[in-house]
Amino acid sequence: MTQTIDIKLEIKRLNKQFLHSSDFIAKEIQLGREENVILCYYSSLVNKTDVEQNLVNLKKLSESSSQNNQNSKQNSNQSVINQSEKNSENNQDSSTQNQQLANEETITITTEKYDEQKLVDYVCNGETLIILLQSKQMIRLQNAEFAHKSPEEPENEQVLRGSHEGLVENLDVNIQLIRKRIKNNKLVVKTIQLGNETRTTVYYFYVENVVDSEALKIVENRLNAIDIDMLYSTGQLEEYLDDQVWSPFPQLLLTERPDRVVANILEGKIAVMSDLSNNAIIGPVTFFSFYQTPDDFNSRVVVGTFYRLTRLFGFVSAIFLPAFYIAIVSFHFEVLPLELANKVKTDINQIPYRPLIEAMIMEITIELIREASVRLPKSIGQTIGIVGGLVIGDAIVSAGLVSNLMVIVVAFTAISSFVVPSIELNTTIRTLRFPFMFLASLFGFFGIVIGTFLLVIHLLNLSSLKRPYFSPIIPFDPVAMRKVFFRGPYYGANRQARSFKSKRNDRE
Amino acid sequence: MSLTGFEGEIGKLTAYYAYPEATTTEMKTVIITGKGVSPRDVRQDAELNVEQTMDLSVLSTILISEKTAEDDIYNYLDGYFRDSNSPITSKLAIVQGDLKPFFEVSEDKQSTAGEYYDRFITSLEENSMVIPYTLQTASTIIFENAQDLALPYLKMGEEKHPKAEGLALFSGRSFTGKILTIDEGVLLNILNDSLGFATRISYLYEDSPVTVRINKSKRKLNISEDKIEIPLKLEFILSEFPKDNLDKKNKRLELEKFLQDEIEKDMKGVIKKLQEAKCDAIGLGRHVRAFHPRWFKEDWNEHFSTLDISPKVDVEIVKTGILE
Amino acid sequence: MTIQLTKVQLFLLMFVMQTGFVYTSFQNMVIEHSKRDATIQFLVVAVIFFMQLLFFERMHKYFFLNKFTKALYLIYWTSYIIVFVVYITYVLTTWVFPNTPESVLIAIFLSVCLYASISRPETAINIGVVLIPMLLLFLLFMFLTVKNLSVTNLLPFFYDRSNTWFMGFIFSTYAFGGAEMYIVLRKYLAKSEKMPKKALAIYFIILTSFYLLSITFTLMFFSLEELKLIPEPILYILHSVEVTFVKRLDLFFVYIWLSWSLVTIVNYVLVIRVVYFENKIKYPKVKLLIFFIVVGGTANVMFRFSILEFLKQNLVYGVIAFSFLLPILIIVINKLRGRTVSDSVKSS
Repeated sequence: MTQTIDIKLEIKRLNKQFLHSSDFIAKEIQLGREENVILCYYSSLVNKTDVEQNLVNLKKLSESSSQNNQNSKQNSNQSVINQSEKNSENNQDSSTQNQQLANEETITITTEKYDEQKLVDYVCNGETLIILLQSKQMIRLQNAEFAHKSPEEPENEQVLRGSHEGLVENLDVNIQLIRKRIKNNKLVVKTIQLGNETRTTVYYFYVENVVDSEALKIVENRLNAIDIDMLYSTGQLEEYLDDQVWSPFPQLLLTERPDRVVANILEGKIAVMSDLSNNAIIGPVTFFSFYQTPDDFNSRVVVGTFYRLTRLFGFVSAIFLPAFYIAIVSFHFEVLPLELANKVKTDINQIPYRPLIEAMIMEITIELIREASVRLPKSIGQTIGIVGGLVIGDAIVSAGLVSNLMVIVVAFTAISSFVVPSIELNTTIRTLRFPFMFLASLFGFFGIVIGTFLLVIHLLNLSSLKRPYFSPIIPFDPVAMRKVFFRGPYYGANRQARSFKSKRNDRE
Repeated sequence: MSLTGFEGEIGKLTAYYAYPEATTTEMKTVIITGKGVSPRDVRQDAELNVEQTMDLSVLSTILISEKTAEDDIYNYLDGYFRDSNSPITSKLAIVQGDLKPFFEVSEDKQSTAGEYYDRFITSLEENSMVIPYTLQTASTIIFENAQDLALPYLKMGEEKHPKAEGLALFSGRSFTGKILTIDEGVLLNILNDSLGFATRISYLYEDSPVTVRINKSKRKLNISEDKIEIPLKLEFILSEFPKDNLDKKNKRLELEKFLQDEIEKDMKGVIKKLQEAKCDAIGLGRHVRAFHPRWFKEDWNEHFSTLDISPKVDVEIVKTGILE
Repeated sequence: MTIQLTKVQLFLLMFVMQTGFVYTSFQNMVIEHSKRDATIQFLVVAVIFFMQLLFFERMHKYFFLNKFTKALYLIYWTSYIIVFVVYITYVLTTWVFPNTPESVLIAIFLSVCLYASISRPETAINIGVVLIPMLLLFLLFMFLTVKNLSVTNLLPFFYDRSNTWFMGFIFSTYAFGGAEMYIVLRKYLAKSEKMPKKALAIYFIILTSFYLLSITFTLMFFSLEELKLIPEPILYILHSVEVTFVKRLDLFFVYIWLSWSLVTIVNYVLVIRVVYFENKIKYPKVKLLIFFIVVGGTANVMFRFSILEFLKQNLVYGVIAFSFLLPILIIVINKLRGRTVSDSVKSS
């Protein structure tokens, strides 16, 4: 009797603690002959079939054990025992029975001492708890089920050849995608809970014998030092892990592809993920890691090299081309040969304002188009693209607002800025164009030179998890530099492309 | 501003400038005149007639009238070297008579005026009719006392077309007034070892025209105290020879001997002209100074005209085209 | 503040510091005095400096600077940089920007150098690497002028002597202006690195051939009379080359040379930082700012053609004194007294 009252009180208390949330269930069930236990869980988070299965198993278990108990008791009981003893024995029986129940542990079932705070944690994580009030124990059934996508290819990082899988927003599935590519016990996964209110699970993994241990220490220190209430995006994590937050250049690589994650981990980098998004944060990286795609390694040797060089050229042209145009047209007309100069002059003659304004008009138009096309629904996206391109490109020239050459320059720049395989660097490059354009319109080539100088110094100052950002050019490592610009074939005893010194010196 | 020209003399100089003007569809060439004391002054004056400032950064050619060139030519060119904007890869030419017709001709040409003359002179260079010079290399030679300039010489032909007349010989810094003809110019190039793509010489051989093209030429210099020998070995390709039958060896040898004699004779004529003009256009002075400094004299121009210079030509016909 | 250098970094620093300033202009002075013997004189001076380099390598234990010599060198290096800045501004305003006021130019590129100097020392050490492709580009441009060269200008040797023939030797020392940097930076070489003689020889051969190329090209391209009029022969040579698409090659080279010079200034300031900020001092950044303001202000004031000429003629004596004689003197004195670098570290 007391049991039932206790249980009801406990259920009331639990409901109050969980603020009467409508998806929180705390009910009394019978598990075994005598004892009633409290079953509590969030109905939105559990996998009901599995839980049922577990309960059935537990019930069977308890019945068979109580059966054994009864048999043993009957066999051993010979004298008359008074009521209290019987009661106590009964109680003892039930408690031992429950203890035996509780001692069962399987994959999804663990047993712990009953702790109210921890109960809240476990239930919020999606586990089902069975509370045994008598023995002050609780059994955890870990059958959480969180909704997530299937591992489809991420839209933002497409490759022509190579695996088309992508990471998802679920810890187990992600680690599964990684572990199936590295079947090795040296792959270590560590978890940490961040955010006092949100209590998000953040996990990071690395391969033990090649990892850069100093970088690992830095990552751990920084993660442990995060003391915030709410963690709701991976961007926040990235900012905490960054060395220089104010720099426009990303110091950590974000990717959604497991093959890229694996390739980087095997070089000694560390990947950090959370359940919030399907992006993995990889560090420490160099500037040139942003220019590598799995495509390079899945194509032919010469082709891979050629495309890598093209991509690096894309970086240069994306930043400098509008600035060059402005500088040449405003200050240094004599650089162009005579025929080209004549054509340019006839074009430019009719534009009423200076080249900088012209360039700004076109660039801002392109930025608006790009920003809008991210949010366009697919159905009208194509149409707007064509209309925008033709109408804006053609009409704006006939209206005399912008010259033909400018449209070509801007189009070329836009295309080369999308060549970079990483989105953050893409936005960085597109933003960097504007200061260069201003410098070019004020000082011509001199401005571009000064701007480049400042940019180079800034890049040299950057570090990613305390590793130099511009390796392998600085510090100068000729062997690694060849690997950045050219792609060598895989046969033969060679080392894999390596950005920093890893512990092991001979690989394959 | 792609073409300029000077005439007159320091103190009373007239200059013409031709520049392209941009209309909505095409470029038109406009000519303006300026008068003044010195080249820079003249430019100031010319600017008064134009609505934009003149920018000489696309200068392609500079024409100088022969009377002006008889002065020290560097006086006119100094301004171009001092300004960092002006290109010193432009070409120079000396013209006979008035400058104005040359400019008027270029008014209705499709390309800009300077380009027209630039290409004109470049084609002469490629045919080895003039020695290739740009403003910079010409000025190097002006300052060098061991070699003298020989610039292209243009005159106005009958149908109001500029025509290349030959090479104007300079001694030191001024024009001597003496000219080599175009044929002699070709020979001068052979002597100077500065051949272009296609060098052709024509003669009349026993009433039959023969034209040869030079395949290779080798020049050596044998220098002694007062005598310089220039052995030349020339390889010819036959361009025109209606008389044919060169498969017979002796016929070929005859032809070769004829060419050899003719060319030697003509070259001797060229050298005589050079010595009369005191113009060492071949650069013999440099070789003497480098390898036999004892025999080099400071006033090389004078000394040059007293030397005995004899070319010795050795000719061989190596190819005859697709006909035999 | 200490730094660790590898061999390659040390040589790169040396190369940039020695070629930075003088590369475009010293040929004029040498050739003016020594006429056609410039190549020979230059080679002789090169051999002398190579000996000095070997001597430094042998005796580097004995070189350290006490307060007096530190002050001397500070004055010398500061004045060197000031002359350098004046010269850069002069070249920029004549060749490229006739209309910009010099103070603006000086302010702009000194602020870039300031930014580089305030950052970590590794930045300043490694920034020279970015110049290497520019160097190759420059060599490519030079080789485009080959068809205008006349080899006969190089000879005859010892024929045409002017009375100031001996000055050619003096002016050739300009080329090796930063030689004392080797010995100053030597003690920061990482302990694990050895310095074989072969490395020194290779470095020196590269440096010498780079300069020799410029001297020979200048001799071959211009006539002697003409050269008297031209203060920057290398720029002039590039001015007269026309590549198909691009007409003003000298513009590109002026900018290459500008970035080269900026890196040189950054490297000099790096050495100054290393020498003077060895023990922790307060507010290094403010001190650097003051330094740059002083340099910029003085350069602005001294910006006259006549002053520049005067400096160009006479700075070379300073170079000889401080690059060549003073380090040797210091080493000899310390050797006689028997003190080495480790002693000085313990005592300071």
